Amino acid sequence: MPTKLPAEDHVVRYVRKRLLRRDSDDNVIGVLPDAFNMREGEKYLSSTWLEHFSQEYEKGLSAAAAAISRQLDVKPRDGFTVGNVGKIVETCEKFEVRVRLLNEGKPENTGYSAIRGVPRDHIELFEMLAADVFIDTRVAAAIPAPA
Amino acid sequence: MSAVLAVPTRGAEFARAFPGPVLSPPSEGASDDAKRIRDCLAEIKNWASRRLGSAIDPRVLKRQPASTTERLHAALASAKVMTSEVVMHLDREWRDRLFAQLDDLLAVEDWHEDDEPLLDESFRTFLRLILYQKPKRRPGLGLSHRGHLIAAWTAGADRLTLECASDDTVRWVLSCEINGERERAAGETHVARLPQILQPYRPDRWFADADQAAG
Repeated sequence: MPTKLPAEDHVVRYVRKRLLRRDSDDNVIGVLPDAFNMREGEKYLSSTWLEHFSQEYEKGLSAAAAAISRQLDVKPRDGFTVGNVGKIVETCEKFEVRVRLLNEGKPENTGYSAIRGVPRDHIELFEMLAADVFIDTRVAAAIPAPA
Repeated sequence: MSAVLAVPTRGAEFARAFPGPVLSPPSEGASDDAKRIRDCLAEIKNWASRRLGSAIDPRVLKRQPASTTERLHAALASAKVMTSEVVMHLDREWRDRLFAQLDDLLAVEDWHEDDEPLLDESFRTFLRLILYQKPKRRPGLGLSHRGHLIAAWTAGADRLTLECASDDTVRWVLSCEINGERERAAGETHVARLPQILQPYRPDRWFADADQAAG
């Protein structure tokens, strides 16, 4: 049974290297708006509930990244970006978009969560999510494995 | 003027560049003259295709190489060849750095099998963007799911993101502070119109050298 995520919690989204935002010296400084655009065939945005693994932010992030790596082929220069659940909902509402964040755990990633209701190609919404909501972006290689 | 600048890719512009009736074969059962005309038309069509490079159907050309490595190398080589056509308009350091960014963006070891490599037509739009806009500061580069190059400039909280699509189309989105207020805007335009579109947002905040912007 999917569970609604608490507004004060966070979700971690996996982002391929090509969608990381870089400055002119190639330092990773965030994610590009297209990181929130669904690929063809996708019906919702995938994410992982950070606090499902630990209430301690860094531990939760490490565990979430490890869980995502069990699901997907995560390469060292890919990234993870973290957003607050309440801010995601609030930001989408500014564009009259109603989203639901639901924990839909899978055996390899029990924190797996879906962000449902995000439209395709809504570049203004994606830009705001990238700029103001998903404000903690790390390169995969920089996240330590969980203890 | 180089092919990158000179060859329009949009229908209307193509028609202006290659005026005359649409190329079509002569009627069936026609004479030797008709055959010669047909051969000439085919030759003209081939010439136009060569001039447009892979614009006819770049995805088909990209899919011909067997392996991911070959596809990436083909995309990279194509981008560098196109850049070399306009190299006289680019600062040497700017060009060298661009090549390094492309090498990094299309690095085989970081690539996922289902990623779409950079499309020629997108890169052509990017080059035109650079030639029209002449930014001193280099953008960070990314790649969309569709294989479109994304150029991103960031100056503090002021952000400009441009997705270079085919047919000289640019999807743009920005967020910047003007008179103490944060403004956001987005749209889609022809690459040649972009300087006018961005003008009210004082684009030097993104495009000027860091020292110039600070001054």
